[in-house]
Amino acid sequence: MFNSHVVNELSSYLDNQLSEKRKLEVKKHLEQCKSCNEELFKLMLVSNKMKAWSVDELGPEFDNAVRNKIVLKELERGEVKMEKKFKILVPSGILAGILVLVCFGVLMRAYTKMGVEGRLRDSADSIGEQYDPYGDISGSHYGQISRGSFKFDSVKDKKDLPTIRNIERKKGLDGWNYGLGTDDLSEGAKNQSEHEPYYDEYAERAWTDVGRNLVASSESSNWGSPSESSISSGEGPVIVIQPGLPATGEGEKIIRTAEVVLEVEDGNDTYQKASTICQEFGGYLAGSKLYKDNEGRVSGTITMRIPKDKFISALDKLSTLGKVENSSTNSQDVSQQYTNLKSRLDAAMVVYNKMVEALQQRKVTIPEAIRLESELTPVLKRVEDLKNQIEQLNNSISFTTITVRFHEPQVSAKILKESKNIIKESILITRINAVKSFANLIKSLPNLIVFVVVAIVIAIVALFIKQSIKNLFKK
Amino acid sequence: MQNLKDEEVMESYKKGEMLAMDELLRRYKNPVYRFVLRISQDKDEAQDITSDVFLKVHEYRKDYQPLGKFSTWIFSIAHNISISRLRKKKWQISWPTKKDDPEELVEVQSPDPSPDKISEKNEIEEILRKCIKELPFLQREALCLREYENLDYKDIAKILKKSLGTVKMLIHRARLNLKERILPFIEEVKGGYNV
Repeated sequence: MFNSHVVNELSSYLDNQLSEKRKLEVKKHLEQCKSCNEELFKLMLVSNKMKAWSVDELGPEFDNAVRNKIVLKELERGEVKMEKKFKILVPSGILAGILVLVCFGVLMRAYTKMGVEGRLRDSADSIGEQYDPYGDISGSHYGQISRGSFKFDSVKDKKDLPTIRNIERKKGLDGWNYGLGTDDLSEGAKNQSEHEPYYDEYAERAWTDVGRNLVASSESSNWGSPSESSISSGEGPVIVIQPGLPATGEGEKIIRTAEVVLEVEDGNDTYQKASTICQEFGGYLAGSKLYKDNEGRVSGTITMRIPKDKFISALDKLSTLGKVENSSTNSQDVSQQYTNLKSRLDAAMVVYNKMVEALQQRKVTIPEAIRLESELTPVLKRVEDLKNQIEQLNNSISFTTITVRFHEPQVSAKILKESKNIIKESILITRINAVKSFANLIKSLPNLIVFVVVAIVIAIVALFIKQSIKNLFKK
Repeated sequence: MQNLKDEEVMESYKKGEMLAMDELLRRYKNPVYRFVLRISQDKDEAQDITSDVFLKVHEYRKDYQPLGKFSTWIFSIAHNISISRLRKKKWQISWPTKKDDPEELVEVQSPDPSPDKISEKNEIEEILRKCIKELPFLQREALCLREYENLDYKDIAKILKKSLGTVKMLIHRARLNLKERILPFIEEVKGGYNV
């Protein structure tokens, strides 16, 4: 009767999913329809066969695995989702940060006419000056020290002073001497300490050190003579204190000598330059020596005589020929010696003149004349000797003696210095590049910020749309 | 915890009672696993999906609304995950035909000699598995939920997000498809059904 409908509903009938009314209708039909009955039987058979398919069950290890996964998930997500407050605060914080950066960029641009890049480049240049890769810090300090013009301006950092003293001590052990103008140093230190409170402590320490060294050097001095102003000590911290050169007024009879030890790049060139300087100052070469060692390094010694009024200028100029390793001056007051010689000459001249006068006026007898004649010769010789001594003394006083010793640096030291310079240069370049990059970043920030703001706005809108759609679906 | 209904256990889990998860696992890990294994016929995959199902239960515990049955909710999660996995890789095998030698199949699956009945049972079960796996995915799911989990058509409709009529049709067509393919292998197709 409604065969076709029953066939389609046999599954529902089998599963008891039909309404009561429909179920009765189907049941009634099945009693009459053999084909539907057979069809139902086949479906039931299939169903029974299906139920025979058994599956193994999961063990307790599965529970542990799930729990572990849950824990891991929680850890990954940072314990649940972000709170709503946090969701609002994070974008707000980012936006605020960006705005602050923009304001900072604009202010920086307005702050200087050169712009941020220019200022930062200046800053980079100043860093470069501080590093001074082509200069030698210790050399420049000692150069100034040797010329008696030590200034605390050269102290760039607090650490510089102890470093200098360390170098002095180290070199002192090797027997090197350094001449210092104590007046200049003390004034420099004191003036600096007055004007620069920052350096007070270091100036005071430097002053104390100078005093200590002066005392130590004086105690260990071998010179003994109070007229000798040069003081040196055999070992230990060696700073030879030269209390300024004595006055060169007329009547003073002072012999001056100086010795400079230089480390030079080119020995031959230094020899030529030193000779030229000698001629420039109206002096002459008293002696010279130039030689090469086994490693091919040129060393030499030049002794020159320079007029006394050009002594300091010549010494200064010679010190510029290389790195001053040692510089010492010596002043010997020979006034008394000169006076003695002069007195003895005067006395001898008196005797001589009287003897000559007696002989010329024939006031003596012949035997006496013969005796006077024989005595006159040694007096004459004595007068001549005294005159020669005085002349030599005058020569020594009017022409000072400067000895310049020079040598080329050791190859290893040279390489080390070059390596240090290369490293310093690399650091400098890196720092400059970093500063420049930062400058470029700051410079481009206002342009970049527009894109960032647009991107953030788009992201916020997208998030809002996504959330709205989600809420819509939830509803 | 054991005396509570599924929905009440889930409510307590929602409130932070971690023991509730143990109870949910005890009650539902095997039904979900069986369901997924029957539709995927891959043990590792089924185990993986089952653990993912419980992860989702944990993840969406705050979104759970006890308006319907918990079983419906958890099976719908399994259904969603299975669909997404199906998109990534096909769970397909070839249809068995009359030309296929059942004995050969049995030998491959069970090389050891076994009694005739066991052998026959294994043959039918193997064919059945293949036939079920060859069913369209929704038919497969609907039939498994009905036959093995004994769910009502209404619940199945909710799980599959289909209408009741569609579910009826899916289950009926699934059975017809299976009947067409399995009956040639079953000797006892005779007689009728006495109501």
